[in-house]
Amino acid sequence: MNEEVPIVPIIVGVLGALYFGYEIDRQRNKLRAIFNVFDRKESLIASALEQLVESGQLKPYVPGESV
Amino acid sequence: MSQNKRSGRADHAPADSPPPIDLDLRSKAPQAPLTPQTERFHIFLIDTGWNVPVSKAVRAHIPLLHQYSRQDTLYILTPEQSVEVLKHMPETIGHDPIVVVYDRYGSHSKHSRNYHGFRLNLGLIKNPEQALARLQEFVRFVSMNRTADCLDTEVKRSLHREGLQGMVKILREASTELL
Repeated sequence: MNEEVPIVPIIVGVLGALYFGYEIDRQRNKLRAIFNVFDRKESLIASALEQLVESGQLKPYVPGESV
Repeated sequence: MSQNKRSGRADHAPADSPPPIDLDLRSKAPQAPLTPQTERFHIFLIDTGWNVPVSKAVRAHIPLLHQYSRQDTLYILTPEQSVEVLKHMPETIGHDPIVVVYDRYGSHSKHSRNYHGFRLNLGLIKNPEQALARLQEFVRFVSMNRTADCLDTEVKRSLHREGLQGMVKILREASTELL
């Protein structure tokens, strides 16, 4: 009846799980920063890109041309 | 538009006056079912040269990038053009080289004024080898999801590693990095 609750393993387990969750979240945030789905910003640069192409200043890449 | 673009490509060789290309980057509903051969993406490389090692690594692999997505149109901006474009998106200064992919047939929403796609901020990575690994992942993703209805969902699931499967992938990558 007077069995002691193993506090230390529980704390270690909880801390391990918290770190695991934190690390997964950190990695996902990093990936979200690298691979970003479009938002309003891309619509702002879209017109600039369209203008560059339509004015002939920016042309489709052709293999063999220097970049 | 496709016709115009093709003629633009043909006239890239020295010619008198190339016909203007009418480019609209907004997404629209596809006229026919999407196939792996459908010209779906407009890909832009924005690079001011800020991150020299990554920039060199990316530029060295542009021919390969083009070979894998011949159906699409690839545009390489000069450093000057890149600076001008990034002025419209100042919070991304220093994130270049940036690969911006406009999806011609993305699902419609009010948030992005019908511009759909995603971008790859390679300048956030300092190591050129890691940047190349992400570029390879991007090429693989584009090749595998050419006919996907909703690319945004695929980006979240596959590239952001969401869900249980993504969590496993993160762990696997972490263990590989430790080796």
